[in-house]
Amino acid sequence: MSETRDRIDRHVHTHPGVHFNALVRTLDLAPGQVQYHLKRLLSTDSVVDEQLYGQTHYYPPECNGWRRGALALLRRETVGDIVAVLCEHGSARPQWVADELDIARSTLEWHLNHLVEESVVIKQRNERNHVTLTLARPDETAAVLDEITPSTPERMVDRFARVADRLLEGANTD
Amino acid sequence: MSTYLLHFGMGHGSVSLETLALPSVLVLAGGASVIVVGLAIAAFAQRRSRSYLLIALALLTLLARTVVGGLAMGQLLPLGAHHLMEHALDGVMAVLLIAAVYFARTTDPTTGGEST
Repeated sequence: MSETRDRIDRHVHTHPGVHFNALVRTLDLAPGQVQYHLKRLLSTDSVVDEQLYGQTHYYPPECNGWRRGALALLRRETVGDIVAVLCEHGSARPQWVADELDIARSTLEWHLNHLVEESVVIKQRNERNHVTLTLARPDETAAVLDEITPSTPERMVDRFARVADRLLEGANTD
Repeated sequence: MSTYLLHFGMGHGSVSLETLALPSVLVLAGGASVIVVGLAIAAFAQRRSRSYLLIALALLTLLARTVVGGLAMGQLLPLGAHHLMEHALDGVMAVLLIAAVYFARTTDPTTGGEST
């Protein structure tokens, strides 16, 4: 296996649910190169892909079912924030979550639709038709969130790379 | 030898503030250098591009400066050599950074350059 393909394969295994753009950005490879190697990896079943809500996500083959949807969604920043709030508070009213995160109610609903579809969040209605949000699988969801939240050193490395990219780009602007 | 002592604030054999200041500064500089070099190496491991390697090496010169300082303080390195090495390391860092910027332009889109 070529070194580049090996890197992509390893990254998908350590970051299950990673989407195409994130792979290109993190590994600093050309999109065409990533596409080519992913096609090969998919053909040998080293990784599997799934289209979810406008993005293609990549997983190790052993990752399946509920985890796939949860990983894909929780990797999106706002969705991760919504689920983190629910993890912390157990259950909450939608308006309260929107206020807490300072996002529009429509944005919240958009993400909630996906979360409900992937059985991450449940909308419970009381007799007065008021909605309360709860997690369908609180423990598993917390574990997934924990798994994909970068540690402080990881975050520092990301930021270092971002600063270096910007400096190199700035020095080379034509 | 007297210049050496003056350089490290140890004139007249009395324990001055500077005697304590130098080791502290070296330890702090060393600690910070280790962190920044660690970040650079981790970023290089992720990106595998020549520019990132050069940046990591450039930052490694910071750590080397601390090591050289430590060796001089421990009298394992003569003062003249210490000064020469410190300034040479400045030059090495500048050259590595220039190279990092240069290669960022010439190799970026095809990093790795593999065809298979």
